[in-house]
Amino acid sequence: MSVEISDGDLVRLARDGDQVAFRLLVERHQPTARARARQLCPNPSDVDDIVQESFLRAFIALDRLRDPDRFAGWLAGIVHNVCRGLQRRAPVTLLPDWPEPLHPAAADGLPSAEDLDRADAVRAAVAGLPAGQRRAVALHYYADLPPGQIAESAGAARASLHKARLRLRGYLTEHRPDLVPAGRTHMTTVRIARVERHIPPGPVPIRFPSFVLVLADDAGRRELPIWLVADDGLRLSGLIEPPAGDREPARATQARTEDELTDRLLRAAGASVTGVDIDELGPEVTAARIALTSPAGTQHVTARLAEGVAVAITAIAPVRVADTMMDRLAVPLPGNDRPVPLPDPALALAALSIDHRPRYEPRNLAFADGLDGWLLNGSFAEHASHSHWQDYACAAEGGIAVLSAAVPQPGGFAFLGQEMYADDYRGTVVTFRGEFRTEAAADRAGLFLRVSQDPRGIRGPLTERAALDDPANTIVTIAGDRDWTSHEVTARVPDDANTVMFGMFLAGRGQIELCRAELTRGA
Amino acid sequence: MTTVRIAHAEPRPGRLANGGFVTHGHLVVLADDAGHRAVPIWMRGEPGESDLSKLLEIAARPPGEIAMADAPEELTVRLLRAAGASVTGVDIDVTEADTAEPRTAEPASGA
Repeated sequence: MSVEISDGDLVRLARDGDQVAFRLLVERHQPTARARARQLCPNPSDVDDIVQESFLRAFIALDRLRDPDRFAGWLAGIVHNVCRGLQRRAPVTLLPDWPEPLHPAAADGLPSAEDLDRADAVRAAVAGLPAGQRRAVALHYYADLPPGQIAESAGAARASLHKARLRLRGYLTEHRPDLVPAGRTHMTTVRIARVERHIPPGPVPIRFPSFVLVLADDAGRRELPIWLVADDGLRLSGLIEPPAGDREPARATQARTEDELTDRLLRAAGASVTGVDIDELGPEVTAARIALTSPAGTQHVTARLAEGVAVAITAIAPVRVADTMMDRLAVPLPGNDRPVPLPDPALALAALSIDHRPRYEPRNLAFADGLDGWLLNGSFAEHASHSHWQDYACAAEGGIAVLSAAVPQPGGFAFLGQEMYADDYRGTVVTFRGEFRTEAAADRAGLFLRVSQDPRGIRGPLTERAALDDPANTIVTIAGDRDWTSHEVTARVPDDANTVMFGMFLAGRGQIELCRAELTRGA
Repeated sequence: MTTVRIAHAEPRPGRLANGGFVTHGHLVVLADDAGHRAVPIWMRGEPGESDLSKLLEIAARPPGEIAMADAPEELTVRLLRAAGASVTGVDIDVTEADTAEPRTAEPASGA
């Protein structure tokens, strides 16, 4: 008798805590998920992240899948959602996983020969079960019958199913050990050693991993480096090394970060994080398993790796990594004080042959598309309770953009500008020029260039004084009422610049207009 | 205190055409339905930098639909649930000039 385990059965097994079952789901559907991600996402460098994130979310939400037999369609929806939310999040990439995928998809996106081979292995394992257990598996996992209708008692049925699962695991361990993940008891306790910033010069992909989280196995004298994209890297480095003057978060009235707020809420609920385990759910799918004790007992919550590490840092909880991961990915310490050698990100980039970060040339400088691509912001948007957020307005018509005060006494200042990645401007001098006209602008108006190294963009507090004092800003003021007059502002873009922003600003009443805008670069 | 409903949240000034930049700010409108009035709040800075509009979109989905929050708060909720606790309310008050500070209610343990 040959029985193939369906997706639905694997989902049910995985829900019962069977790690092999979910690993099989990953291996079975990874090629299709990868193909779908390639279709939906224009940047090939994001495909690996999308697949990793999709399977992790599927694992987390597995109990909420109404019809386990429709796992494939459900997963496709998750891939779609992850692609949509790509700009906001970034999972990790483990160093040795970069050069080549472990299980490349077939060219047509269908399950690969490897995938089918694994399915055959599982089918053989089920076929080798004793008749009673095979019958229990067939009735429960194929006919979807509850345990009470499988045998004379639900307890007897559950016992048969339990024995069947053990036999399946035993068979696969003996015949296909590559399909059986290591047990969670084989873990290495690590120390969160540091977060290093590694931003290579020159153009890089938009989600290029630019931080390295280093987990130290002090006893084994080895370190596990994990690449993180900027958002995760900044988050963890901020937790490990809080800003000066903010090193006693426990005494602060407000939580500084989302992670600290989470920790406070858990403590208020009488719960504490007792540990975070890092493991793989399947090939190229990493996850953190957060152990939590509370009045409700001990629970485990699965999360993204970076999130799990953030929780561990905030809760001062131990972190453990699966031995299989450590053995495969950790790097031996070369000496007492020498840092772990890291592969050159630029070489990894070349090995991947992925597209570079898209170019961001100035857009819509003639205002032919209204204000598309232009950004209205400024200190007027800072106030929480005074609600100055309507004090300034902007519009574009007939090739002219207007930034104006909307009330007699506006609060703060406003700017209308464009922000671009600095990739194509590093090492050059950029000039922003245009024709400007001010009207009743008795206060301050003008044009500016902002060249920033901070990948997070503008951060508060944003005040006029702070803007004037910020060395990243080069500002030219236009005083009084003027007819159309040409003005320009110039700044050098250093090699480590991340963004270039240009535009016009207004502080106070009146208005300023702009036409014939252009941004040029020179040596 | 007046009980309000989070009626609206949107990133402001919004994303650029290329989708690459966002200004880490949200316009949030709290509606007092009984009083037929609403208060707009401009939110900026950390914590609370997550995409509130995305969280609201998720919250509005039917029960049982997969929640795909790209925000740390999603993990917070799952951890609290695992601990048998839930957030029962959030009070917003002004503690000093220009600073509206949300005070999160004590999580109620369900254990």
